[in-house]
Amino acid sequence: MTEESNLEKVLKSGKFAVTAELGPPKNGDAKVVREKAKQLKGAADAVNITDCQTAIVRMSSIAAGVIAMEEGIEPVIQMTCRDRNRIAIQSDLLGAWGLGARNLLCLTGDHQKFGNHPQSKNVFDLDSMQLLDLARNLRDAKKFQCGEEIEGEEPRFFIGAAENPFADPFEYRAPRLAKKLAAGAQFIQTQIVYNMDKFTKWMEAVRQLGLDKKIYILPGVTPLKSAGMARYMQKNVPGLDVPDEYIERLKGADDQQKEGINIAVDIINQVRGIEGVAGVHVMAIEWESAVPTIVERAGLR
Amino acid sequence: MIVGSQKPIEEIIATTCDYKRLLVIGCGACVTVCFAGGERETEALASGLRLAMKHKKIKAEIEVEMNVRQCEWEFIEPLADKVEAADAVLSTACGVGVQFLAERFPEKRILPALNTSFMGGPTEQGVWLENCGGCGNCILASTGGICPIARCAKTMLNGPCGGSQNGKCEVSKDIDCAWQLIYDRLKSQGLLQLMTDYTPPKDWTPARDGGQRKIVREDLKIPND
Amino acid sequence: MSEENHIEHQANCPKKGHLWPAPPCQAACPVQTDARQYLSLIARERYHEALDVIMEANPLPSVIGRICAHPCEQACRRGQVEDPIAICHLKRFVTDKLGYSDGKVKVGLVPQTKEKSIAVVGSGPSGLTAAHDLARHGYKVTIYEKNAKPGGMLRYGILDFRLPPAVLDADIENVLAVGIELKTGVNIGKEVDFQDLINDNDAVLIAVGLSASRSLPIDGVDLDGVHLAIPVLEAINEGQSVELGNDVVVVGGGNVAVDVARSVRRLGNKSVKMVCLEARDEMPAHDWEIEDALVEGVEMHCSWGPDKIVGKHGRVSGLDFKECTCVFDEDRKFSPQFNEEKRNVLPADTIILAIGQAGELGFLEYSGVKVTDSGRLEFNHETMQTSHPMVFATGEITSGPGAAIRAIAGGHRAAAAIEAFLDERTPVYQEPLEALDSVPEHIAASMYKTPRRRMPKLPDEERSTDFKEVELGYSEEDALREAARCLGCTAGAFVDESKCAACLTCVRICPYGVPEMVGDKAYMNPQACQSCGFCASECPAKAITVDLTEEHLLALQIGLDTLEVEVAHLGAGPRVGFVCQFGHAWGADRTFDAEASMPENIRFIRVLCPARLEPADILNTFENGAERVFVTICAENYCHYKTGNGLTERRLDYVRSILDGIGIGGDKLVSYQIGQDTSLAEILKEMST
Repeated sequence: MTEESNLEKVLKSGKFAVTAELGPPKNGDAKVVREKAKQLKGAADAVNITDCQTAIVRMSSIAAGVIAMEEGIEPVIQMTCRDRNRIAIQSDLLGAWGLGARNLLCLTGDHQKFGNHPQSKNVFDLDSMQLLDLARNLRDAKKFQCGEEIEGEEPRFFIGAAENPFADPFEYRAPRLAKKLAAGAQFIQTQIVYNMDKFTKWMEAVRQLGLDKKIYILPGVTPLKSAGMARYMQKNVPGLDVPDEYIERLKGADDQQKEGINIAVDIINQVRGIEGVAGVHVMAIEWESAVPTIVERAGLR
Repeated sequence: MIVGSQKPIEEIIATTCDYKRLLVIGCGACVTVCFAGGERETEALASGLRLAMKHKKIKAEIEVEMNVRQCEWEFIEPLADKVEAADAVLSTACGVGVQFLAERFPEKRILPALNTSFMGGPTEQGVWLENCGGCGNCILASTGGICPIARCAKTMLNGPCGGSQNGKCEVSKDIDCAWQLIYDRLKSQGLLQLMTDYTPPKDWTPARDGGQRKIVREDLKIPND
Repeated sequence: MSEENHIEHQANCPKKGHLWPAPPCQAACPVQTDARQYLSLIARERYHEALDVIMEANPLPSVIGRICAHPCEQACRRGQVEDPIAICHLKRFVTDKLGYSDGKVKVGLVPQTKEKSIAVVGSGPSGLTAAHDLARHGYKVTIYEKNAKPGGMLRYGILDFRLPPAVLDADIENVLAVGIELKTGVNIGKEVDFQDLINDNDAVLIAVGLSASRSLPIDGVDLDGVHLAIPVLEAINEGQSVELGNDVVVVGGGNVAVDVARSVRRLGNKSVKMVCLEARDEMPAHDWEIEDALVEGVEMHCSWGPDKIVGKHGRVSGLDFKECTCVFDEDRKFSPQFNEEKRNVLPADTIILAIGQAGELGFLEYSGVKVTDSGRLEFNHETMQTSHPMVFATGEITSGPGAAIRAIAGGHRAAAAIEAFLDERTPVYQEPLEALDSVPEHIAASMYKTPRRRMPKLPDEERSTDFKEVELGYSEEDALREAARCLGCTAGAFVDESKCAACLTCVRICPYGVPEMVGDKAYMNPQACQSCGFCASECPAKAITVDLTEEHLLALQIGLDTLEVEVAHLGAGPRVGFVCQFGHAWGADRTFDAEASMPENIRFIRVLCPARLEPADILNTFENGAERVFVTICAENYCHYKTGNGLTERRLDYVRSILDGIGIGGDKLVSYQIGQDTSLAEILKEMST
């Protein structure tokens, strides 16, 4: 029933897929989106448009996605549960579909505490699991969450979700992926992979449950821009486990950015070798220009 | 029980310092037990306020009255004369008590001395934790007796988000991840299936989003003759 | 504890008008002295109030503080922890410290408000007490004393080294000062007829005591060199010469016997031996007196019964005696059994018989007051009346020989009986008190151990040579440390059930794990409770009270506002120090005279652990005019109640946060940790500016 998106086609074809990420600006300037889109064009099969990532106010993911489409990018619209109740979410999904978006990533969303409006009241009327179910039902059952029939065109998104293989309880993480699959997720993008051992273990558990055959798994890869950034992530992002080895490599490098790209390429090469990995999700945070190089160096284009 | 804590005294002084005769009314129920508005704390507050007035060289009479439960009309009534005689009333009860006073004495300034925080209980002397969100539709049967509505920062219903780390919530290292607790509990009870099952979006109508909630028990109402 | 037990205890709650068990010291005291209260006052250096408490029950505090048999101490529950409190020594300390025992404190006259008059025969402790009670209630009272000086057995039966005459004089002077007329050297039956006393008064009280020594019906008692104890004691006390030999044997095992023996030791280098029927541990004399006698060189020959006194040329040469195998029969009745086979002889040139006393009641002949064939007064213990309704009796003449404090109790009882008689009503006497049971073992084991302070005494070698007082009296440091040992039995904690919110705070905070929930109310077993008051000051509902701390603060803060004006010129306003008396007594420099060196603008409020203070108590102090407040806290591991220092610190932090919020500043509330080397002088210096 899906009106196949490019990303879905690539994944179905068994080709190693690449998704990237575009962070909309903290202003209303479309040019910023266009600029980033240009940098990413051709480097990825689809590009995630983040939804006020880390709870910082940014241009709407749907609006930025539409601008990106005008630049020839296929967007993956990110939708979080933090700021919208089920009414607003469904309304926005209808709008996104109407504007031509075809991929949807369902997220619970970062807590507002980490953003620039920590005093705000959060919504969390739904969680990511319920959002997946909702999106799937809009498409397959042609029903709103309340059960009411959709008259006319229903949104038929290619639905994705995120999963963090490094969070606790670790042994629940693969079953949780199964739960997302059951709720409607067709592809999954993971938290950034630096801790290869843990990721490998998680993938084993995923394969044991046979999930790799039912869902496309795209591990997250983020190039480290500098030793400072690496250290920051090691210290402040729980579960990210940036190995000291990478920090040392960056510190020892003449060109830290170049070395960061090297590391990203190494990681891509490693995850590619793991059974059940269908592609990579390259998140070059505020460094979109690095993506084409990485993709090229990894031999993905 | 209802757990609250006294507002910073600066804030209380700012709202009360214009009144020459202030009546401070404590409450003998929940806020006594959580050391926010019982006789001991109310007297200390009154003493602090008197001292503050003296320091500001303002003449003020500050008196203390206690109340069994400020959320009962019958217990409030005996204070009527004292309230009438005062210029303003400072209540060290929870928000419920403050509103009961305000409703009974609509012409009087009724001021809150507490921040009413949550429904919970002490985990040790001097430490209270929230346990119940008052959602009106209890799901504790399926969450191992641990409430994700009250205890998960995102009120998630289908397991922990990616921010769960070492049993703690991403929001703060001091907050347990409710879902880690639920997972551990259900695992130990052999009930992990409950976490695999999909929990549909919650019906929030019995929760606070429906305006002032009301419970009517016809079987308890006193019949009119 | 069981529910049933609990209900019984709660029904005894004094806050509900019922009796809680009394402190054992008070229950054991014949006059029910509130020792707990006065010890607590002494510990807080409030000596005048302590004396008031003592004198509510006892008109002869300096005397009793020296010679009391102190049944209170035998009952003291601190004895279960290490040693009982030296209650008697502390009583003496107060009278010495205030100069009461030196006659420096003068009691005022109580005006006569009643028409009726009472004659009291005898000025011993019972007669003085009864006269004192009656005079204070407005009656006209006259005491008739046969000797030249008042005091009865206190003067003639107790030696100067135990009770200096000046001390006795001081107490009696104040007893009389309330308005009692004393006629000395008056023998009833000779100078004044007993019938005249009956005719001229509305009631007569016989309080003549047992002033005659009993003799022994054995061979040789008529020999030269055989004496009766009381006349010997009287003579020694009056400084008259007594002809005694150098080998003295005292027969008897009671206190009089020991007193005689110790007195005779002081008359010169004499050998003094005591012979008594009882085994050493059965002797009726007080242990501490026996110990002192031994120290002073008196020999003890126990479990021997005198058989006959042998003599040569009409003069004593020795005492024959036989083994006494058993003094009492199964009913504890006096019924000595002897082993005729085992005998002994002690050579002696002097024998003093101290085997018991009798009353001298000859003056009652033809008075209508009946005396039995065995020489005892016909007496009704309920009404304190003799066979003549107007004539009452009290003291040893009615109760037999006993401690002075029992005689005082008898005096109170007689006064109550006489007043009731004069008012034509049934007498109301002090009811006996139910004593609090022992400290549970686990609680006793967990308590702060602090041994009893020793009474400083004359060096051994100085003792047997003169009649100087042997016990020198506590120093102030001794007294403070000793008084602070009091457990405060049954002073609380009491729970007002109508206020208890069942918050469990007391259960959690008690350093001894005493509070428990019975149903939905907290309950403190008085047997286990140390009355430290921590639960009371922490209770958010203020449902808990502890006596001894109730009055603690407000009264003492009176005058802070005027102090504010008085010290305005100093540029540094009033400061109040809450001083922990536990830490102060054993930590800070006691040699430093805080009172004398107290800066003008500082006031002390002495507390037995500052953890008894509620936040409001400290805030009130500021409110009352204190510009700065300081609190002394015991060093770590030194808290008398284990956790009081930490509790205080965190409570002070809370008060500081309020002071900060008000704008006064938390730095106005200072705390000092008191250790062995803390200088109070420096604290005062620091605080005064």
